[in-house]
Amino acid sequence: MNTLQTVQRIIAAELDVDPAELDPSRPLQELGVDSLAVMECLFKIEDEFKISVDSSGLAVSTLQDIADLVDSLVLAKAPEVS
Amino acid sequence: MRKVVVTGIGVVSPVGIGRDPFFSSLVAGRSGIRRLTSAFAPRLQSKIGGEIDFDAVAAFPKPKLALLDRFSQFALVAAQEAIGDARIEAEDPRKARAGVYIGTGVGGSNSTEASYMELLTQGKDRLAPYTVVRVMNNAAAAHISIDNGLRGSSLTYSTACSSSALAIGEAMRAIRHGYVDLAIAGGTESLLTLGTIRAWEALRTLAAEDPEDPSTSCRPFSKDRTGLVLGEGAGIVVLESEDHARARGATVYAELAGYGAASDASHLTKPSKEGQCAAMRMALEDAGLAPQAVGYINAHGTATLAGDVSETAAIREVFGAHASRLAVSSTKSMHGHLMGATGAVEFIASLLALQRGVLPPTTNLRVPDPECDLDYVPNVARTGVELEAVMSNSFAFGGSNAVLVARRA
Repeated sequence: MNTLQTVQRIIAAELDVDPAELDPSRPLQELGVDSLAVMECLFKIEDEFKISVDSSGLAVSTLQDIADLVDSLVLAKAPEVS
Repeated sequence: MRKVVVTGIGVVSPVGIGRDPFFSSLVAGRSGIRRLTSAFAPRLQSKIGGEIDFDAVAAFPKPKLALLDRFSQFALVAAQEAIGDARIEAEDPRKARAGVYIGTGVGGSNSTEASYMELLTQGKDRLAPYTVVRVMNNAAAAHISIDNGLRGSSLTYSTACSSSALAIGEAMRAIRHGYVDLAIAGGTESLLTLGTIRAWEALRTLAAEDPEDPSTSCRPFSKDRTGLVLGEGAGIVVLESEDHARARGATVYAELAGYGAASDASHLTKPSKEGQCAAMRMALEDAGLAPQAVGYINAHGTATLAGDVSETAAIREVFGAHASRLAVSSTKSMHGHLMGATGAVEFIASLLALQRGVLPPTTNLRVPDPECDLDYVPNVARTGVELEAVMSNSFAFGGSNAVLVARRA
């Protein structure tokens, strides 16, 4: 499962919908993820990927944005664990 | 000044969810008090409570449930029943000036306790973002407002055991004086957590468990009473002006005719007869009723040693010779003490007694107490009773007393 699929799965569980219904390119608002729910989803994504999203992460507007953000944070973290 | 009437009722209680299951249980003398099912129960001195079998997953969609502490869940279910019962239309223009008045003692305590456990004992170092919105004391009122598009003032009252009686009284005043046209008022509480029960145990006010039948452990006005039993639940009523209710052909349960609020101004926990008398007198005066008009009082009657004696003496003082003709019962003997919800739930019991002419009993009243010498409707409900007006008493820690009087509309 790639990053986007994992993000889709986490958010789908929050919304109680089928992950396939979550178009990665549509704005989160349109998918039913409001600003409050974004916080809760990011909290779970942080747990899943063992990363920490700072306030700049709140600027995400689509699922693809979240997946890209996660990838960049995981990558940035990589040297520390090697 | 506008007359205020009750046109909708909703209840979530240990003796039943919904108006009719609730009142049927009270009339049948069925107790909702039992051995607690929580994992921590074996650690408690008193392992009993008025616990509700509530299927939250069936009641709410998952994303919504994630936002709701149990106290908000109860409030929403009771509010939906009350609003449906009152047949408030989705497009009712009064929603622009409709208020929400909710009492709660401890608010989202399940979420508070669960989150602190994670932080303090489970090695977690951060909390879920929904923690604040689940925990906040005004969450229940906020959800009722949001879900129903009620855009008047949305207020939360916290005066311990009188919270919801006070919320209903304040809502009545707001309608009378024209600040709102419609009000959703009542209270909600869900406090059967280890922390809350332990804290109450420390005050030595909780009832000892009856070794043979835990459901009979709460015994208001009985000489063998040992204290109160904590319970959870919610009670909500829809209030509106009589003119509005009549104009739209609503079914009216009763007029909410009087409200009295008075403080003991003496001691945090010791009840004061004077403060209780003041609140009862104020409610009668507000209703424009002579004491003789009241036929039934739903007592605060928590089954503490001092409280029941003080309330009995206060009723004798306010009602004089009429006190001996009054029926007084404590339905806490069956549903327990619902704290911030208790005033609303007991006011609802009083309304249904008035409407149906049926008095719910005080159960477990087995041993007469010379200091509690009123007619407490012992153990068996009384039917076919003609009532003109009823009273519901709520007296709180902190000394905040609230009394509601309803009259046949």
